[in-house]
Amino acid sequence: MSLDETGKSTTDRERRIDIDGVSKIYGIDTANPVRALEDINIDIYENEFVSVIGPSGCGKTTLLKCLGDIIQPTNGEIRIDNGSAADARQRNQVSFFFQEDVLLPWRTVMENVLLPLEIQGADTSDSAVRQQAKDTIETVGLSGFKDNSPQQLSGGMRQRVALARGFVYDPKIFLMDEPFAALDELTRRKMNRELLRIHQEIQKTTVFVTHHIAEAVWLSDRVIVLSPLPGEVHDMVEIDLPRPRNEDTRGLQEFVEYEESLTETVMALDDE
Amino acid sequence: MATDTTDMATTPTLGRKIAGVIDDYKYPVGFLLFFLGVWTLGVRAYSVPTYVLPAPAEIVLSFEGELGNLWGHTTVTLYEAFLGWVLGNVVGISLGAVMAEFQTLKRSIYPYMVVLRSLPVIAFAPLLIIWMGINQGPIIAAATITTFFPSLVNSIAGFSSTDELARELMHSLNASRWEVFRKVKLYNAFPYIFSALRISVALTFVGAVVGEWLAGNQGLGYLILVANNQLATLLLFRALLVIGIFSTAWFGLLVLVESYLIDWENQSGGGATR
Repeated sequence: MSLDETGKSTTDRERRIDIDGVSKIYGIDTANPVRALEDINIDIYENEFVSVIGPSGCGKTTLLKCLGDIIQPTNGEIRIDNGSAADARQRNQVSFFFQEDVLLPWRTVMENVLLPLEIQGADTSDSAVRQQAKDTIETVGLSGFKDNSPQQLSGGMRQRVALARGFVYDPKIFLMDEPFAALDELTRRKMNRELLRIHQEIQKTTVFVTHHIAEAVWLSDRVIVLSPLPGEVHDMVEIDLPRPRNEDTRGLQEFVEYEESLTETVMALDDE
Repeated sequence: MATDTTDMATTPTLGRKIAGVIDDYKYPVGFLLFFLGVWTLGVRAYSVPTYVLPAPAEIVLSFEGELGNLWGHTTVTLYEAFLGWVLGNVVGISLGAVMAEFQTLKRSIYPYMVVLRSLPVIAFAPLLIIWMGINQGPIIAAATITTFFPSLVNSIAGFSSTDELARELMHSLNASRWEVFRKVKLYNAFPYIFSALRISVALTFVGAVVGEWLAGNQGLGYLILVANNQLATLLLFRALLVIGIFSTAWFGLLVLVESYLIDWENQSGGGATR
């Protein structure tokens, strides 16, 4: 794999996602087209945790939805494992996590987690398939709730179910669109801790959209800062903090420095 | 969870439950008694003849010896109303699902459905007789037509009610169109479908009764017409009362079935989807 301009730590790893000159213009045939993304070039490597931050309206979610083949870029190309984003989605290699939990209320926790397997054609009465779902539910710490309906769970628990649903079919790439944004501060911190633990355990290539800078630094190998309208890559910062990380990481001098410098960058962008 | 303890203290005991039921019903029942009282006193005070307006007690007492005859007519009307209700809803709900799924079809047909719905479709009943003759056919058809339109409109709304995120989720999981329909849209449509089923109970009776006026020689609608011609007002009230009882029971049964089948509706709002 070729050398990458973003730093030495990525050179020995395999490239998973190649975002090549991607632009997205909304309402291209209207009087006021919105340039949500402009010539985005990012490479993302095997098992890397990349956060995308930036002021509201900078196209973070648009970029992620392009990666997930939920919307199509206007220009440019996205390659995932040398196939298109559509190929990756159709081969169930990616898992998209939404801002809301999007649980189906008529299904129990177990049935919600089984949904992706069901769509992939698995026999959900098969004990091996059910075990796979049970194990995933255990991973997110909800073993005792598998037969509950989502309405009986708290917001944090519901979001854990959504995580389990995204993990269960063992995709290679996680695309996370502020999955904890709707939760209260305390629950969000708990969920971040959970995500860090899970990521360190199962090692997935992850693209994580957030507007929370400390959270991005804490979780990521690399933080990408997008500028708004048009959304362009403004800055790309390697987070050179030791792994495994934990609550103590937040106390490190380097952590605080990363957080402060990124906060200044984003604030400057927001003022423009 | 700490706030739950206050709720625990008010967990209803049987005595409290009964008190709650009494509290729920005391005003409507009170009003009914008041209404019946005014009716009775009014009829007495002004010596209103029975053929104009009988007193409530008279109506109830007049059922004696009439039940067998009444039951025969009731089964006829129930059969017509039920068949019309089933046909109208089956066609309305299916067509609504297809129209919600295929936008071109919806855009082609829907405007005409709106026009048809704003017409008093029951006025087409004489045409049905020309086509089908004087028998139960046009009666059932009339009940079907009155049921069909609200059912269609509700069905389209129901099958279109799935939100964008759920569609995106299913897309990201590589679900086929059929799977999105069967696993998501169908469930989202359930409350709308039940609403259609409930609304159309009263409408199917309208269709059946009006149909019997035009083409019937039996049934409660036919009975009402006969009673009207003979100024047999007690008979008319008996027929109306029977229709009211069955239509209410039918409606109530649907409410029960719905609350049993759809247990996710009233509790949503927990978690992040608020």
